Amino acid sequence: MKRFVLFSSITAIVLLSWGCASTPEVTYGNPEQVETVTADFGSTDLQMIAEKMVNSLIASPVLSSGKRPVLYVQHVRNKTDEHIDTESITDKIKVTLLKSGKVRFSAVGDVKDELINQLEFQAGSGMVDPKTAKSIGKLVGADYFLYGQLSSIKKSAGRVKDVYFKFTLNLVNIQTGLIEWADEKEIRKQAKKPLLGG
Amino acid sequence: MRKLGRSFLILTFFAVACAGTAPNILHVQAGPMGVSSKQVEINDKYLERNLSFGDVAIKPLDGADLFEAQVILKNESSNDLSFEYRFIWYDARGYEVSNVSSWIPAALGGKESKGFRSAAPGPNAAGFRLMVRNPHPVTSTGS
Repeated sequence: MKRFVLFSSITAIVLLSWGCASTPEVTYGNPEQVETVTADFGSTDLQMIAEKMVNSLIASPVLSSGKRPVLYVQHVRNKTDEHIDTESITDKIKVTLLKSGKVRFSAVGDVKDELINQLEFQAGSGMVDPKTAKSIGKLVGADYFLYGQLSSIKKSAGRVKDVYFKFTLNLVNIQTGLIEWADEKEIRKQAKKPLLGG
Repeated sequence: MRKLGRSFLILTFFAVACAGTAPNILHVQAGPMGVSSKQVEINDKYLERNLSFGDVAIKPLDGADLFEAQVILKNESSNDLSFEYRFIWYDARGYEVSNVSSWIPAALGGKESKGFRSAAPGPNAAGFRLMVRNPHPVTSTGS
């Protein structure tokens, strides 16, 4: 009898749990936590790349000289077969570097048309108070730009999937055309499907 | 009844072992001239047996008041060890200085030592905390 009651109780709890699970459970997590949901490019990969690049750039003679050079980000080419927003990687690097106070970024690379439109409007439309209108020809010229690429090698055999990412970033001196700094971050991830399910 | 008790104990042990524990932390006060103090805070004794904090080296950068720190981490066991680490920098008043401070997954082979580096994110940086913990990922099971 006791066994029957125990079995019935467990069955009822399991069924009730299933019944109540009609909507997914949503919780807020820590964005700084490591994520291994799949072997695809994820938030932790982005953070690992940004961490390595920021530390390396800060330690480079170009940024640690105290001259606060002006940079812009050209682009990071995505050579993987995944859709990856590489701008979010460079944005993370850009924001962290800006907060360090060691560098300034020119917005010309991102919003050139808007800047030109606004300067022409302020200087030439006659609608802006001349005392506050910004004059043409005073944009700060960038000293360096960043460009790079993200590539990957993927292999699968049986239940194992191996993914290798390589992110390379270069800092180019606009005056000389020389690459003054470059670094890379390699990431290896492995996913193993369970024997059952999956 | 004794069997049930033993099973309960084993289950409790695994539940405690699998649960998230607080990280071990190396507190370092430093400047471009070197380390002025360091202190180890152990919150996970199981991890301490396998992963130890070694020497801290400071390298001044060109900008005089800037520096880079390197901490040696050693895998004391003979097996491969996976863990997570993060550097958090702060100024003389104890305010965190902005940097990428996410948990970073890492691995060391048996008895392997390796230097983990971080550059002071600004001239006002007066020290850092290096935190290490067992892997704690967000997985497909939501754990």
